[in-house]
Amino acid sequence: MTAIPEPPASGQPDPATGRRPLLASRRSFLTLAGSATALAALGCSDDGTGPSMPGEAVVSLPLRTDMDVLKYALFLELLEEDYYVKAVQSGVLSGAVLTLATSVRDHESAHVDALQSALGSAAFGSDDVAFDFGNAYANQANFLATATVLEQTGVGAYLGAIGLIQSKALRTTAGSIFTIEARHTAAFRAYANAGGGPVPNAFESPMTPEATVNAVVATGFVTRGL
Amino acid sequence: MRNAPPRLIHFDAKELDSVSERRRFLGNLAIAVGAIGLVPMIRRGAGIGELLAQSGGETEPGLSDTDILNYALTLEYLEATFYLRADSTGPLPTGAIVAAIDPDGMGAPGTVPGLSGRMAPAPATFSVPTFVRAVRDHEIIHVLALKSALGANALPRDQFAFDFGTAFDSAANFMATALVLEDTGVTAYLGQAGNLDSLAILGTAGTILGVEAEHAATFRLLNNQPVSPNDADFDSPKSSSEIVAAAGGFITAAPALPFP
Repeated sequence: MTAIPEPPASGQPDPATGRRPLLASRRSFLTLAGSATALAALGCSDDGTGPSMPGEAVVSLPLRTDMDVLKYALFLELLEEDYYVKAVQSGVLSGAVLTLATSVRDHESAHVDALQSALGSAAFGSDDVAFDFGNAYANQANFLATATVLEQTGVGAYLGAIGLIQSKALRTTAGSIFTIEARHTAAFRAYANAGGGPVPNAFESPMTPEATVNAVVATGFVTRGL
Repeated sequence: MRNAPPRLIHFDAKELDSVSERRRFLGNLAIAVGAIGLVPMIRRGAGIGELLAQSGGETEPGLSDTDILNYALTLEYLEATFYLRADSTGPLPTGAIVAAIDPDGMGAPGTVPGLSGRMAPAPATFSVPTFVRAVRDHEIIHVLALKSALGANALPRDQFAFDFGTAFDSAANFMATALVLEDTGVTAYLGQAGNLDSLAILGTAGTILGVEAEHAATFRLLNNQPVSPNDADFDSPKSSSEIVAAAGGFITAAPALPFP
């Protein structure tokens, strides 16, 4: 977790970005309420970096329907896609790491496309979300450490949500994305020379949607969409 | 990798009833093992029917959750045996003994020539032998977990026999075979994700599946391959008959199997 910047002390603007952190109270509200309207109101905080439109949170908890799960997955995939698009453009990656990042970027884009297609008119897109990954592109080591955490979170998120999916066919589709995320995780751990090696555990750890959203909010990466 | 693998060897399962025919088949298998993953299975036992002409990922409504767990156990037996024959050194996970994991592996080498000298691809620096031993232990832990879940319904290991041909002759052979086994495991688990009824079992199977995918990706890096087959954006679910066609060549004896 070392590459993820510590959120500034509660309510204080981040010295690097001038951006206020997402508030802890908002986090618990997300978990408890899941009201898109209320979240939008919270998003329009006085720091001026909330949704530029009277925007909506693209994910609402708890996940009640298959569409809810798909939206949750789409949000996570948009986050990952943006992370790798910016990483490839950053100029700090080289060699095998650049090759891997480019490949992973394309995988995540395909996941976004597939989820948007499945959601149809209920889909949202990159205009509805925005991310700031802080110092993740300061150097290749930072990129790898953050990539490892993002992928591991994606793996836990899919695993924690697959049992919420009613459609058995959709479970298989989610699984076929989940395993790609797991592949990414191992590859980034390998190149990051993570302690414990590329595959440190015999079992994956599922994360509930609530835990995942809390973890994502805690990174401070999300500037619009939650 | 999205299509059913072509078969290099065509045979009639009835021919294999005689010992000599089985021996001949194993000879062919040793030749074919260079094209691992493309060999058919020796199909024995009352529960093994015709190879089904199923398309990838087609659901298999005839399989119960117990059947699917035994299917997973079979694949984990195969994998645990494979890695134990590649490295039988060092302590095994708690509760595991060699004679129980690999009762038919008396002639197993226990080492692979050249494996200790293999380097991880830069900028990775992990120890390849340490990674292989970790994978071995993961697969043994998966066996123990699935046996525990199945209880008295678990297919007994001593009714299986496995033969990996020339896989342990060189580090290159070993790496290539490991890649195929792990990728096959991923597609096998994935193929059953929509067939499980119990959400608890689905979740447990998922915790194993993800680790198989991680193994697969690492062996792909070690083989200078992209992390997914053909750099695919999605993994492909495969039916049990497709898995039997891809990995069954390593299975030289099996009890009556519920699949396919």
